[in-house]
Amino acid sequence: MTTVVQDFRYSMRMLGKNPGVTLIAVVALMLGIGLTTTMFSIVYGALFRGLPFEQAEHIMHLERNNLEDDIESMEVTLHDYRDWREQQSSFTDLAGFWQGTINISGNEGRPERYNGAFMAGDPFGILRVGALKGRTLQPGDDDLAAPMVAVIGYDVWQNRYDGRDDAIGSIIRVNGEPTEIVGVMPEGFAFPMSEEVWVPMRVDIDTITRGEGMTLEVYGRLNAGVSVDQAAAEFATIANRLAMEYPESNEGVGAVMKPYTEEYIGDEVSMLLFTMLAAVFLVLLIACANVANLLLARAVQRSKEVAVRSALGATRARVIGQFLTETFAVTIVGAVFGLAIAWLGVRLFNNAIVDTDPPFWIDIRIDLVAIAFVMTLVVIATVLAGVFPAIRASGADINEVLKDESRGSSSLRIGKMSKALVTAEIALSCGLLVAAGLMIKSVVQLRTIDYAFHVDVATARVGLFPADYPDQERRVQFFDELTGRLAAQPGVAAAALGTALPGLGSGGNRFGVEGQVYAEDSDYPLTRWAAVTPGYFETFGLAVREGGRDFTVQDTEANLPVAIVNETFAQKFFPGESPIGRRIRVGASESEEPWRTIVGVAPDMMMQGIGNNDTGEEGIYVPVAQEDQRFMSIIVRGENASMALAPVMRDVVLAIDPDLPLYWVNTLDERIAEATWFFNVFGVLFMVFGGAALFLGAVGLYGVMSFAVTQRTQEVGIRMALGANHTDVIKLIMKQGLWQLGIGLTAGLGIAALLSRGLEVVLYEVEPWDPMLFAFVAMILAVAGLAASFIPARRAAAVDPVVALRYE
Amino acid sequence: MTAGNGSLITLQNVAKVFYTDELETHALAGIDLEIRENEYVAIAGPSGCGKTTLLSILGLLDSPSSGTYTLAGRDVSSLSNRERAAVRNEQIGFIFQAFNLIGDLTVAENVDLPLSYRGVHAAERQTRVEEALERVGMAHRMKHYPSQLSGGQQQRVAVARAIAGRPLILLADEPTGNLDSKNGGAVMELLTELHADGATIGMVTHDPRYAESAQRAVHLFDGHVIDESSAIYDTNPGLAVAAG
Repeated sequence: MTTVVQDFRYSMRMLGKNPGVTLIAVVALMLGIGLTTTMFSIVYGALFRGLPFEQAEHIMHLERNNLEDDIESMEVTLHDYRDWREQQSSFTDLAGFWQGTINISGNEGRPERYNGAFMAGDPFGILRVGALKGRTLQPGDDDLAAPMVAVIGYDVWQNRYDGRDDAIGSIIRVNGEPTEIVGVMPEGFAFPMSEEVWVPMRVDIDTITRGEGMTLEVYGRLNAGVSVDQAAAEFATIANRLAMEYPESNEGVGAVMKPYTEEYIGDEVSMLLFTMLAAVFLVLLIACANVANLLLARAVQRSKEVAVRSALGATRARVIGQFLTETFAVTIVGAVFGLAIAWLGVRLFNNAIVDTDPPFWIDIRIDLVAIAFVMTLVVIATVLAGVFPAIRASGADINEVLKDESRGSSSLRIGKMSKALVTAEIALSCGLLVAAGLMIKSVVQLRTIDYAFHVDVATARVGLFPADYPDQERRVQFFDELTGRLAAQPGVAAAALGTALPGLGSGGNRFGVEGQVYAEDSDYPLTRWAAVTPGYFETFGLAVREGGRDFTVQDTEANLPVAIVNETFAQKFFPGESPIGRRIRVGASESEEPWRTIVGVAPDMMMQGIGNNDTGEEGIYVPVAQEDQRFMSIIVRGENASMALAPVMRDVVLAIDPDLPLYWVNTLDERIAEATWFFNVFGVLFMVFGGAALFLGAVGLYGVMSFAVTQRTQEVGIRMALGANHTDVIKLIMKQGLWQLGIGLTAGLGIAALLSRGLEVVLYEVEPWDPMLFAFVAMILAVAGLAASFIPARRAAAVDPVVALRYE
Repeated sequence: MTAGNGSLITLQNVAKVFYTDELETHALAGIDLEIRENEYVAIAGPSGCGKTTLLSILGLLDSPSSGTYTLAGRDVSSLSNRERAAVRNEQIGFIFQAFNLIGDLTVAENVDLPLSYRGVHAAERQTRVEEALERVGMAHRMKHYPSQLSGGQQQRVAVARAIAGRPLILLADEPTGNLDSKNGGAVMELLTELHADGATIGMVTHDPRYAESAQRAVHLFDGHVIDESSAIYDTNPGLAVAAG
């Protein structure tokens, strides 16, 4: 112990004696450990912390698949849910839910819209979560004859009821139906994802044909001692039984189960997060390589000290221990600052995603797990950065070092190690910079989109429920009145409604063109789809192309079914001809939708959604009056600032229906920014990683070149004595740097190709293997590397040959 | 390539002053020295007398603080760094006490170094390297690295490197300082042979025995020439040194 303390004290003294080296090492490790811990905390919080419930690892998500039809994931029909629940024994019970809008209105405040969950079974019992006030939903609440009840979230209780106890038992209107509040959930509870109000799901299953109707997300808690494999085997048996019993609806249908949180993060996001974690580990590796290089240089300078220690009886292990203690001391200091960086990084990340409505269990913070991770990194970094220098320093021939005759040969060996390390640094930096470049390019593409339509329009969302709007006629009447009243408001230039907004994605469906023959249902092409009111295009500052027309108030259910297609649709499905007058039908062979006559061609309006690379731009529009819809986006373009009309929009809605809340009130560009947060946040993260990598790579190369120059001072003197001029010396030194650069860049571009594959999901309008970007990054690194080599080379060339020849 | 009067090197009133912090050290003061073509001159004196400084100035590794230095009829006192490098490369051959071979290069590559800086064609360089190594008896170790050679062998390679460029003068700084007496004697013998073949040599030594092997010896003390020994070879009188 005394030895360790003694070594530690000596280490601290050595660090103090070399403030420059210590500073660079601490900064490198601070960046490496800080960024790695930030990313680890994000990954851990998103993927591994799990649900904040008792034995949450036993809570599984269940769904169906049909591999014969290439369907890997399907929600569970009501009949299958009921049969699974009755026939299974692996889980304590099963529960189901679907998520949707819940409008609350009542005397206590204006109507509000919440994220709601319609729950089946004993949903809270399975989770083993109780109410903070009152009670949770219970079996029996979903009986059709039972009084309607709701459980509200903590924030709703605080914001709408000021946390009063008399909220329990009060009667409110939930989606138009009188409902009693029976409980308040604890703060932070937002199961299934980010829900705020829970009501029982009340469906008369006997009125629904098997295989049809609504579908559920299902979850359950595994019984003690039952493994996932055992449960899966039981559900396979049940699925086979159902397939035999109900071949019409269940043939080929299997059951799939996985830990609950896995279902909601998704493979692509998981891959992205792991890619980023791998990327940030590269930053740590670069930092370790930097420190190792600095320590190697110090080891050479201290070879005589080591030889003296050895001559005085220090064992090799003792010498290695001394060097590792010094590395440990540097790493600990770097880790402390790194932890501060991680704290800041996590804070910034949480701020960046706060408006994105992340799943409630995602809890990203610096806690004991993160601190344990940092301690692990300290050990890893100490070993990675310290072992090579320690072994090299302790392995020199004492006799030769003391005679000072082996300096050249031993330094040569260490020099090779340094070169290898810095070459690896360049390779890793290259990989990270390409990844950062791809992300930056994506963000730039996003921020510089030249929208063909107005994005400064004010938008909002409204939803109608059967209790107040039981049929299509009532709903269409509401939408007509809303549009008319909005358009008549002072300051409104144009107003319209639509099921979808440009740039944010629309629903998709298969369709057929009249006269075309499709052998299979899967041969029917896919298209985007939206229901809109007359004036939709004009509100965005666009017009239907010449030769066609916009929808009118005459396009009602009673008249000819019509559609407007966009330009991509027209070019793709009616190349070289006008689609006006042709007929299309949504759905495949068994579609009961009407044939619609195309009456116009509209400009493309990013119906597929920004950042969606999976489908094409083609899309069709149908009149709201001919397509029954309950939820609608409102679009208002003002004569001046559109958002100044937000209160007007709300007043108009309330004037028509005082119980109807207006929500998602934003300009379109704000909505687009929210929808594309993913690109911005992860883009910034990668930019930080890339910047750190570039900085560390350049510092590393500079350090090695600088060390090499010091080591070669005498050689430079000899060469100058033999006639080498400044240029010759600069060439000599830079040649070494260029070799390292060349090898590092070649390997780095390979790493970049691998990393960019993992990033495909977050790239917008950027090819993962963008040759220009790869070349640009190689150029940036080459410039940084050349600069890092040139400075020491110039220093070498300025050496006085007389001094250099005397240099030892 | 002399000044026309047989003089290869002429120093006139050369002084060298070093400044360190507040100290002013006069390493050389009022040195007048002439070395004729094919002359073998020893510069002798105790440690710190200015021998190596004088050799550095002669070799254009350093420049005088004052005075003029004429090499082969050209004033080289105030050349630019690039010009000095070119003169060193083409007209001067160095032999150092510590051999100063480059450890990463083979024997042949070390000898080739001054030729490569001169831009000599590769084929000619190879011929000259082989000739130089033959001359010092080291052709058989061409592909070896310095660390594989003994001290005496390393110094012979250093001599080969010095003569490969066919310089006007060989400047040797304590060429036997790191060698035992046997190897030291062999190197001195090699220098004598080179002189006999026509080389002009300037050698710094503190060993009177080796100083005597030169045609004449210039003795320095505290930066001044204080004495000159008798010419050993009467056939080549070139002595023209005067105390400043």
